[in-house]
Amino acid sequence: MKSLTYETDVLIVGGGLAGLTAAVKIKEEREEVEVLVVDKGGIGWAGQTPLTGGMCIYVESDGVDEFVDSVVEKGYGLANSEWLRHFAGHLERSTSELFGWGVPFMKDQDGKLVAADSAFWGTKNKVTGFIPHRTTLHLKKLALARGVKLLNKTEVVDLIQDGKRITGAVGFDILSGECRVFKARATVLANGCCNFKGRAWFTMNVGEGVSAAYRAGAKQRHCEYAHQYDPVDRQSETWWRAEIAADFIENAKGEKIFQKYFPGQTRLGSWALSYAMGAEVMAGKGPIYFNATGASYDQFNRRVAGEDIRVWQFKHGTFLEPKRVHFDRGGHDLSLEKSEWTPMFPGRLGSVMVDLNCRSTELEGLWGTGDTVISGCAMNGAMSANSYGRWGLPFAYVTALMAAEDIAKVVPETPKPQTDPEEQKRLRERLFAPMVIKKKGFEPWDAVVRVQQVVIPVQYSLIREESRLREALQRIEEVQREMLPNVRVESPHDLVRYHEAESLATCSEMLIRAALYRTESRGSHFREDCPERDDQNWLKWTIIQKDGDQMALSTMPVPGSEWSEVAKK
Amino acid sequence: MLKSLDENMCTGCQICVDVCPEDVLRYDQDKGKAVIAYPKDCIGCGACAWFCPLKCIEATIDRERPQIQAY
Repeated sequence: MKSLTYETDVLIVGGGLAGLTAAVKIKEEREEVEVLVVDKGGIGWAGQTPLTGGMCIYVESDGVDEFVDSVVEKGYGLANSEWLRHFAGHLERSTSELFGWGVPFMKDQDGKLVAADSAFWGTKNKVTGFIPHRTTLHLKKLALARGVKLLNKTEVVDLIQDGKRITGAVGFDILSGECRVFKARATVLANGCCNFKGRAWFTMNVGEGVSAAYRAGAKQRHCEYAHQYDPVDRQSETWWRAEIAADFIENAKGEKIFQKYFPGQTRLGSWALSYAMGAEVMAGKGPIYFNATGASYDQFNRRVAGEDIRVWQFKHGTFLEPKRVHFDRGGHDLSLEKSEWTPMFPGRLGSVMVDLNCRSTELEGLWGTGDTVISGCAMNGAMSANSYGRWGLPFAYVTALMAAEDIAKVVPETPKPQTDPEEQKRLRERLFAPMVIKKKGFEPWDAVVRVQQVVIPVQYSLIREESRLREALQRIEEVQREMLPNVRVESPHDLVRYHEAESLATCSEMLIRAALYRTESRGSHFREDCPERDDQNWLKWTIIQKDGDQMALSTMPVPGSEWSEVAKK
Repeated sequence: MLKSLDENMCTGCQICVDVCPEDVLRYDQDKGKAVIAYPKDCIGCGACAWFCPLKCIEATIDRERPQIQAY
């Protein structure tokens, strides 16, 4: 088996918004540092970023306190105020930095950044946006101009360790199937979270970085809250913001349902609307519809700087343009007829635990950025990481800049990695083990679907209960024990699918085990068998860490008791 | 589902190959064009059709692979 080894100063796994931003910034700080970005797709077009709507939350520096208070208040006592303040405090300068690089943000006739009032998180909260695919293409151009090396169509599977120090990674070329070994002084995980292949748009990210970090010994935090559900049109997967859509969602009898479960609430995340929809269906009152017949377009639209957001997105070719996509795919106009809706499950397990410099809290030489760490930061508290939307993109570039500044300081002093040949051999063998010839066997997608059947349905991941969670865990373990070793892998393409399936199973196991562990109900984690909130025992985050062959669970208290008092009101 | 890719129009820019989340499309070096290599794995995201500058690709939202629903 042919193998190529790459030696670099900084290995960045993932060439999306976070990866490319980190690469450009490192080179800006220390031009002499060598940077290699690796992606399983084609850098500039790959990953989640080009398929998003491009909207970014924006908080000016004098609005940080108000922002933090209002998020913590909705976090049911589990919001990470330290990370919230850190993230919000960096938004203005990070956004300005990328704007200064020429990233195509919304701008006015004088060329100044446009950020319009949003008021969701207080009077100083704003929203801005950029054209997503043009952003990643622009960042790719900047990266190349600064001497960053790019490697496409390469799947990274495992991290190489020297004790508790990460010294690189192993993977393979998706086209040729050849082994790739990377040696680096610093490794950055920027390859997204696990989206569980739940939505048609975000299936590329299956948590390979998260599960590699788990296998290497990195702690994972807050996994039970990785269960993001987005209410969408069943046929086309198009959607509106949950706080707007909630007014239009009704059951089979035409009864509006949201206020029945959350009376008087207007600003809860997408999980709450998904919960109401799931509960109605489980009570036999489905199907569930979005019915906006007769409503004016303005009633469920948003404007930024006086311009209809959807018109702006459509004009600039942003992929996630609901009315256009809906018309093209679904072929119907929501103002004229009702449409069946369902909670779609993109999940968002980005649970790697990092400090405020985005360094792994356990492993030297490892940083995590963007979606790989977003749910582990627990900023939203007791709900999934992007329940409110518009945080994911800015979180990617803010954390990328933080990690890059830290790496630029430490890497020049970091000795070159020494890699143990036996460890490399072990990881290579693990990577290619599924290619042992099998005459019969499962397809990788068979394993994916078997896991999805006990993760995606609401009765496992939203309206939870102990016996169903144990059933889910049993099924996942069967997949890991019996299906994955018998998956038929006949090409490098199949090998990617295999490692995605393996990662999906690992991430699903973390999600389900953490949900079993938290024996209470809080925010979007609802247990029919433990319906009450238990602050006495559970004002804590759950932690998962590998212990031998086992997934060990523990807790850590949520710091900042004053915030707990705010959340209790 | 990828219904068709017009080889006559395709210039081999590889945007579809780069953007596809499931490695369905590959670049054929001999032809200098994109080809549909793994059609069964298409999950109907439509990104290839959306971003193709010459609209060579016809895609629909249906798919061969099962899609597990929330209920």
